[in-house]
Amino acid sequence: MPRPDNNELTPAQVMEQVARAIPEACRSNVIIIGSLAAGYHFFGNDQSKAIRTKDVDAMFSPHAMATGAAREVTETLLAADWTVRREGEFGEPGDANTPDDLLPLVRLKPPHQAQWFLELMSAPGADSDGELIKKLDRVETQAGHFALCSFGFLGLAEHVPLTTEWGVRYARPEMMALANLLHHPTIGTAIISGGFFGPTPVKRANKDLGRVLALAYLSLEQDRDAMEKWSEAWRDALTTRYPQRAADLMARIGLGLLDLMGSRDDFNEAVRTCSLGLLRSMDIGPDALEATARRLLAEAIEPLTQ
Amino acid sequence: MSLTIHRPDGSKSSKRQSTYQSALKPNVRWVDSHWGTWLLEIASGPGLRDMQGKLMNLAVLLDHEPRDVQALCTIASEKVTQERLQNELTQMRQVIRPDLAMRLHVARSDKSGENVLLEPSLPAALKEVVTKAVRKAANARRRSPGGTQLDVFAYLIRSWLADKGPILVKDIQKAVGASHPTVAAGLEQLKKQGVLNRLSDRSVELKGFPRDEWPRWLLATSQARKIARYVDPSRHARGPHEMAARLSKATKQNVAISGVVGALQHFPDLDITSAPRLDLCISTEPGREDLAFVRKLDAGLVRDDDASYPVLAVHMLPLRSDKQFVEIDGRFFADPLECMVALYDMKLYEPANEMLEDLIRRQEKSAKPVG
Repeated sequence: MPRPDNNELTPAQVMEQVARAIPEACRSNVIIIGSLAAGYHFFGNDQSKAIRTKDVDAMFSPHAMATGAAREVTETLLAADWTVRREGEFGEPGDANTPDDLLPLVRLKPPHQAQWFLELMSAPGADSDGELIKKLDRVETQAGHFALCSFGFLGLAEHVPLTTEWGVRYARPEMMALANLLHHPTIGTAIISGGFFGPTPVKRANKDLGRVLALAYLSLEQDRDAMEKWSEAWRDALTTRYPQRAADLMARIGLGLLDLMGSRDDFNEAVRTCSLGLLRSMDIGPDALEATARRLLAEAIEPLTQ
Repeated sequence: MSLTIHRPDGSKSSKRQSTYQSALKPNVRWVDSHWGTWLLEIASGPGLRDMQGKLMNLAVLLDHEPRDVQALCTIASEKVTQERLQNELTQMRQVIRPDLAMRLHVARSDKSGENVLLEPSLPAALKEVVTKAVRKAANARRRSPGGTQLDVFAYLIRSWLADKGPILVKDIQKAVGASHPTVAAGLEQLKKQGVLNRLSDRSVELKGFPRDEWPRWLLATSQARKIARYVDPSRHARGPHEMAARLSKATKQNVAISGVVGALQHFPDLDITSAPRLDLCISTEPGREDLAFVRKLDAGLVRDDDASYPVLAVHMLPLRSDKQFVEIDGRFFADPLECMVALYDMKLYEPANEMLEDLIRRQEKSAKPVG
């Protein structure tokens, strides 16, 4: 079982660094999502549960204010010696002539440390009905042009987010899980190459659905009835956010998870991503996560399909 | 099932299958089949628990048999590997007397009795015998056999605890669904032990609590009983009380709460801080049990009948057993006797004994003197 390194930061420490770096006026527009949000929620300042947060995903909400707030945050951070993270052919800011799809995402590294970087995203617009396609909004800064991306179901992270003591908010674990489940109705072929999960490429669906299992596992650690509460929260979120499509979406929430459970290789890969990610400090094997998956299906998903 | 009659001196009755004579003999044990000098037991899978009990039974039997008698226990399940089976036999042989151990054998077949795997040293002709025995045992299970002597004993205990007074033999027969010879045999045993009063109107009554026979009954009952055991691989299972609270929503079947949670209804002073598991009872035809409701109690649980520390145990009782269930506030509870069986199965001997003594005290306080 891997143990956190001594020099790793706790999720609360990273959350505080991020929040304090963001101009106070913009903090209420920021919702942290992804592994930092989950780590902060479940582990807080627990030194034994430090997680390897590499990319801190900050979503700007609401969509109407996203590009303005993102511009202000980017310029403030660059003025405070943050730097643009350059990776491969992406990273160099574009200009007015750069097509939207060639603009780099806003990825900023804080000064004097290399453990994590901040990636800015946007909540989807009100017209978004949960389509899977990625949408890009241009952010014009003094340092150049960037893209702010959003995905259809990312909007679920905006549903009743939780607050931190530093003013930024973070997505509820169950909403991140729902977004991932809806995003992967099948085990697609898209892969994440090397790096965080080792030299072997990992299917994106396995990583994202593995995250769902990790979130469910950690929620069940806190509350044995958590899956039933997820179900109620999901119903509320889907009928609020997508009133026209809620029934259709509810009917397909579990399809990807069923696919995952039906494939031993995919399931084991999902377990591996969990043990390198959110569940890193815990010794959780496939049997335990299979039990979690069954509870998730029976108590959170099935009530919505009936 | 056929019957072997063992005399106290170890010799066998010439009428091996005489059910009536069995009533006269103190050491009566059942096996599924015989073939020459072989005693055969058929265990059902998927786990080894059933087989472990049957091997024990065979070992006890062999101790009363001539030295040329051997015993074979066959597990009718393809899910058990030959290696696991041999390991089980090796372990069993280590804990029993060597002269008995070497007369004890195991085999495996599929559910229909085909594809019999025997130890190479055993007679090949046994394969056919095993196939027939497996089919016979399966048929016997399907026929939902009537009550046994164990049921007769349990009925008498329940009646005594409830201070019901003398009971007509025909009423016992009707209540437990047992044949007359079975009831007669059970009563005769108790009579010999001096704990039963036979009255002139063909009724009977226990003189007191049969303390000597009680532990034997418990052991035999737990060995004969099929219990579906469930484990929790993620340690996120709901607690026994929480699962019990969900029962009425989970199923429309009559499922009774037993074990610690059930016992607390009858004996609130039960000295157990927290229940180690939930015990439930269902009344069902053998092989036709519907356990789908378990998923609604906790979908994460996995069935493992060999588990030492399950979080849920579902006791399969004969069809008419639900008559003993007690309805309290819209929920069914197993009666005290049944709860105690579960406590003993969990090895909670001390609390179970305290509960038993309390029940006996209550009975004796309320009972009228027996004439």
